[in-house]
Amino acid sequence: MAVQRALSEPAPGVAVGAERPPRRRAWLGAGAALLLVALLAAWFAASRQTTIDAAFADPVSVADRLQTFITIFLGIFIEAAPFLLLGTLASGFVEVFVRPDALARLIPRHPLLAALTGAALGLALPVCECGIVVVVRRLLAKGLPLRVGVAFLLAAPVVNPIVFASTLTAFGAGRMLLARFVLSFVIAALIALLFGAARPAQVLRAEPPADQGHDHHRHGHDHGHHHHHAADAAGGPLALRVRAALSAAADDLFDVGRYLVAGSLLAAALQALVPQQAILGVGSGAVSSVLVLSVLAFVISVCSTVDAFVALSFVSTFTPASILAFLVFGPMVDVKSSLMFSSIFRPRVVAYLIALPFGFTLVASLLLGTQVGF
Amino acid sequence: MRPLRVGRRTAAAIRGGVVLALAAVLAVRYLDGSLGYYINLSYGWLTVVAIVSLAVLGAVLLPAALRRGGAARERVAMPWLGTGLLAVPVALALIPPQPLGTDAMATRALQLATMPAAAGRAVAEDAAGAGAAEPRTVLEWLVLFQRAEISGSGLNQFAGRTARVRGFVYRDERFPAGTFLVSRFLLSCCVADAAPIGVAVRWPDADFLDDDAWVWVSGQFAVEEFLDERVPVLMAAEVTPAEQPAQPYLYY
Repeated sequence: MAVQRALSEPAPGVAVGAERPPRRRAWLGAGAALLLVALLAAWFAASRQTTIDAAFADPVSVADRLQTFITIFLGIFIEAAPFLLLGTLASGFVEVFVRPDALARLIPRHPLLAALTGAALGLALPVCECGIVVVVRRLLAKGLPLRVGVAFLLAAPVVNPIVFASTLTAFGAGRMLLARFVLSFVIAALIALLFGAARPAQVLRAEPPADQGHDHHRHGHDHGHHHHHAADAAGGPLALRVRAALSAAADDLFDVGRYLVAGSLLAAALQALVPQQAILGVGSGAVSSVLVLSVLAFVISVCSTVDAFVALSFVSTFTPASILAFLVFGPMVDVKSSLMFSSIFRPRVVAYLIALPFGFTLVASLLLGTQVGF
Repeated sequence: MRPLRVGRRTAAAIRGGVVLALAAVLAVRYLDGSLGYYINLSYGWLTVVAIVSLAVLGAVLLPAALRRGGAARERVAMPWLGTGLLAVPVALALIPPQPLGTDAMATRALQLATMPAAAGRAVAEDAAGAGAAEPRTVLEWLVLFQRAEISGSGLNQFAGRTARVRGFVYRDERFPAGTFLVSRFLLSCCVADAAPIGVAVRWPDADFLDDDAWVWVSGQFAVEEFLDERVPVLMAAEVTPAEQPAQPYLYY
């Protein structure tokens, strides 16, 4: 069975004892993101006369635009960093204190139940999209079935008590609140079921993180893996185990934090260079508005804990179905989180994890908008 | 491209240094108040959580840099790209902080008479009272305008009312001569969701004002056409330079 296979096969993305292959793909991924930022900057510089002169009587200097970019980047990073750090700490403690066999006992073996469990995990572990990646990465390495991990990854940024409270505050106890949670839950579970047919080796990154010079290797060989000697620490004194957990958390900070930085750079560049009017101006019709707000949610990368308040500003301009799409698709995938997914999944799978939530959200929002009168 | 290899102590020093430097720059931004240039300060406690977490992780990493002998002499692969990327926010946070200004307005839609509903709730109901020349924020005025539109009482009720508001100067080529916007950014979470708002101002010397300059504007409203909208425009009697507020954004 696929679940048994997932539990029996080590997840190669983060787990155990393989020799480190060349880390070319990770370099290429991050390099491509930076290249994209550079290209956008070059495009901006080249087209500055037309884009800026159209909006300003006095041309704005590149220095001003750069300052705007820096402010937005730091805003996104500073807002996201606490969640990333809480995620890395949780991940470190999972590494040392959670045994794979205990995890296997807790997860239902039936595929549907497993997907539903994953989609509901956020209710017990409230994390936003910045913190969830590092936790799921570690849980997959511990043998969490793929479909549970994918459902948790996609649903938890919405299906958690904090986002429930913020959406309730913004929209009240009505259909938007209900539709957001039900749709996020169902879409995450559906995608997880699709992923359940795949083998972890086909989906997860092939190369483990590098040996980053952490200080808990004492056996005199540089094998480059990432197990933190949890087994060694598991039976040791509590202080040693806590130290091992913190050391694992520090490694995760470097492994996943770089994707957060690259994603925040990209999101800030898009915000600083691409006029929101250009996106919003595409249209406010039944279909175009869903597309527009989905793209906007992807680009602006606002934290799911507060995106309901941002969505309120679109109420007078866009259809309820399109606002629902903003609230469902944005937390699942945005510019920075999709780059962070690269720390877990192969590039092709990251593309699926962007396209599938987009497609499901688009179809569901349009059906609700046109057939149910949402 | 293969990772470069360095001594384990060097790697620990670099990684611990980056983590502690990140904690330090965040702490400085928190303590000097400029954290408010980036995020809604209601979430400042989360930054404190980040600072403490980073300090703990740095304290775990750094001791290995001081260890001698045995494994400390091993050479390990150093992930320069990952370490370098985490150093980017440290480097950028060292640049003197500036809040968003007119440049950021070029990529955002101006809001002259509409507000997010949540912003409306943030303004106390008694703000709708007919004060004489009470200072109000740009946000409060816009919420009042929106409430008047929604209730059907119309914007004409604001004609003749006096106001004194503070904001930064914004103009673009669509503006008629002698007009500018006294502007603020409205935040919910962080600058990623910043929305520019403003009250249109008519003043004969408007064209001599510098963009981004902070000003106090006093005058009376008249309801006029501005950027294809019929909105209350503040006919300025006085425009004076103002200090940039410690918290330059308005929140909801």
